[in-house]
Amino acid sequence: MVKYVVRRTAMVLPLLLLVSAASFLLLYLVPGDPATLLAPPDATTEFVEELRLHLGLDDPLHEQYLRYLWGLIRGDLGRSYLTNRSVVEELAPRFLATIELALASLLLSIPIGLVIGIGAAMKRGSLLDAFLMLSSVVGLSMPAFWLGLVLMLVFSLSLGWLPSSGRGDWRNLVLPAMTLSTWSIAIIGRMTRASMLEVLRRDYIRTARAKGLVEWLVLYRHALRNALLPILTVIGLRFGYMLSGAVITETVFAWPGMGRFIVQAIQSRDYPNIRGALMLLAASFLVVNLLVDVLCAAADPRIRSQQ
Amino acid sequence: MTTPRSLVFSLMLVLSMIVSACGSGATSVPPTVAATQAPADVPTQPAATEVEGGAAVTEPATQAPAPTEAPTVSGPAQTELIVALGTEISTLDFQRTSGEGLMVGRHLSNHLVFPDENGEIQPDLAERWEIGDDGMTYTFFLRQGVTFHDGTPWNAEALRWNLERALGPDSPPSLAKTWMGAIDYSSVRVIDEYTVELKTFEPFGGFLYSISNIGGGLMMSPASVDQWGDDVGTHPVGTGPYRLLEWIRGERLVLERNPDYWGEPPAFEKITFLPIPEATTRVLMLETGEVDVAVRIPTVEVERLSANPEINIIGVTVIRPYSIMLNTSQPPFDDVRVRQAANYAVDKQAIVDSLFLGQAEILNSPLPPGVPGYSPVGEYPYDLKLAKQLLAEAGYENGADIVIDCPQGRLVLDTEVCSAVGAMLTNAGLRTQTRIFGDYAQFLDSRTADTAAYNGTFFGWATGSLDPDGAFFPTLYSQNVGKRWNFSQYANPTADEQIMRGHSSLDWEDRAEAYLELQKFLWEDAPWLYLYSAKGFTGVRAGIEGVFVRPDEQILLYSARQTAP
Repeated sequence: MVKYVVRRTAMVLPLLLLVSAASFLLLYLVPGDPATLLAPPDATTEFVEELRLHLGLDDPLHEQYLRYLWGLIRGDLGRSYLTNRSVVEELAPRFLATIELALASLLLSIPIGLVIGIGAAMKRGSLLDAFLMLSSVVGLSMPAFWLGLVLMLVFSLSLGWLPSSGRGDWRNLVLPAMTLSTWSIAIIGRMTRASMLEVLRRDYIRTARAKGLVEWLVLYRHALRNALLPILTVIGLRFGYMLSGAVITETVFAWPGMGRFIVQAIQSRDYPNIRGALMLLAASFLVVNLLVDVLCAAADPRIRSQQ
Repeated sequence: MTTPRSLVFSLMLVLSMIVSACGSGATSVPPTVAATQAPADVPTQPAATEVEGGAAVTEPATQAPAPTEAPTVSGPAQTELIVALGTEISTLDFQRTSGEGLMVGRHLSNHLVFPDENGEIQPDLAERWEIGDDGMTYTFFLRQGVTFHDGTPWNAEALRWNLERALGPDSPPSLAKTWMGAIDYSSVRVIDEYTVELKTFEPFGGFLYSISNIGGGLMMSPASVDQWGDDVGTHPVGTGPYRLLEWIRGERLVLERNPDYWGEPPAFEKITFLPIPEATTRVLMLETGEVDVAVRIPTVEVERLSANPEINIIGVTVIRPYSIMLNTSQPPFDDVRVRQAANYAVDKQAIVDSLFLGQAEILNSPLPPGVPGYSPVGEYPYDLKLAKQLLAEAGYENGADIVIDCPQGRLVLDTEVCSAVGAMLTNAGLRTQTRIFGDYAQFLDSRTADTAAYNGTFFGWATGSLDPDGAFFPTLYSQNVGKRWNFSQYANPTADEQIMRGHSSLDWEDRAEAYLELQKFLWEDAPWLYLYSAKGFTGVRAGIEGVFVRPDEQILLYSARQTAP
């Protein structure tokens, strides 16, 4: 098990290197000049040239990349073009805000999603099943933009229970977490149902029932544990996705997270910020992936022995 | 097996982030408009007096008496003003920030001189100034007894230091460098503790507006830069009516009243700025009362919100002359008749009525109303027959194919206006292909990268400095052909002559005459397809007055107060 974890961890580094190169190259290929955007509206062309020189944008690409890589190795992501602050300093609070929202959303969606999925699987073919699965399709299709505004209208404007936007105490967290959870609940619910149905057909479930085990023990000890792998994978992917920032939810609720940060950085071609954010996202995605793999290995001895 | 999966995911992530951000520039907040009527009862500052003999001298500002009694308000008095902005402030280094950052900056510090609500230059940190006979030498007599928030005294040395930071030989490119770029730094001379003399490179009529532009010339405490270095943008120290209390990036920025302010103390103890990028959310927060002021209210919401007794909507025409800048460097718009035909071919009234619900004015001059020197000089009524006739006279009996470029999500209703204009031009025989740029960076790049690729550009150039020079010089002066903002590639000796006359003269009468001639000429020569200037809207909760929004979209809140119930 330890060996497995170590090996999987070691693979992260070359991947990050690849991501750094890919993001660097892509930014180079994307049209749009940071100097043009940074320069004030009335700036002369000479001014823009001077700025480009100042930012080192005229240097050969490989020089720029090596300079960036050298900084990366020393843990220095550079300074934002726009704010002149170190990228690490810029990123940290955004990432924390995003983690806060993602965790809240997961806390909301995992139990609800599991209950829906198990319930639907148990009552397969019933009216309840049809209702739950229909709701999950609605949940999957609901645009975050629309849902967020509706929640705001109801809970902030009409009822006045919750603040409509911004970050503060737990009350600010409720509406964006609900918005972000709808999709997760639906997808976790559907995956749980499918996976449970798959397992419930198995012989060992029949055996368990035949030996007179109470139904909830059959479900918990035999069915759910075996159905867990695909559910874990989906939750992991979803979490990784949420860590990259939910741009629309964050914009509607003025949540100062990664999504808004990246969009803003890309629009102003703030290269150091874009690169820093992409590295952080790739790293967190890889880490989440790693965690899921390790969890799967812990849940299923077969995975460990295969390696 | 898991490794390739992770790799693919990571790369997809990188790709999708970039692609999606490029594709949907519409998420950017349109830098629209906003303006309000000047509240009638805001204390006016002493006016400048004219002195003959080539030199204008301003009387020392007589200090407006501080209010001796607090406004009588029954019930709990509101001490904090909460404002929903459209963007996040990137930095409060006054010499580097832009947009709403400068607006916040104006509450934290002062300029040498600053225009009042009628757009006339008034003393600020300079008590008065003299202009030498050469029209290039300025002597500023500084206000005495002013200190920065950190206790650093405001004096000639502080001014010299600010100029050095902006313009000195080692200064990096900055916003301040642009706005104060007219100053020859090597000529700056400290005469005594409160007197500084400096020269401009050339006589420049818009000089005082340029340095008083909200986008430049805000004074910084020299000690604060020594202390914070590169991080001074997070720790701004000025001379203004407010000082920074708390700033959590992306969440809120709180200012508190500066008890030692040299001028009139503001009524509100605190101002909190919240970055709310989504306009619908701003509107909602205004309705719930979570914010007192919300910028850039969408036009479609105006009617509904106006009916709400809790909310006042203030709208004033903003100084952006929205136009299609016609590329005069190549056919068909190298021919003035085709340019005029395009002007006749578009039904401006229909656009104003259907897209702006009447909340816009059809342009009748290349200058938008609100800029000094503006004068209505003509009109291009919708006349399809005349348009076709002019096209035929120019040899385009069979019409022509043209390309019009349009930024998306950057200006109010930009793509909607572009498709409407495109359809009307096509109808007249100028078969229009509209290229939409979702990404503003790409839009700007392609203006200068290949000027032959487009025949027109939809744009509304904002006159940054509130001076007519800022309207014409960047956009229509021949030396700016091929550079940013002269998207018409316009080079005309007659226009040049008047632009430079207005640019160089220090006598307002003379300048006004030049700009009148210029407006008439440009209207006939039609380098632009003149469309409209739109209104911008700011929402303010009932019970708050004195919010002043300049016609350049900047909002000043230091005179805001609660109305007596």
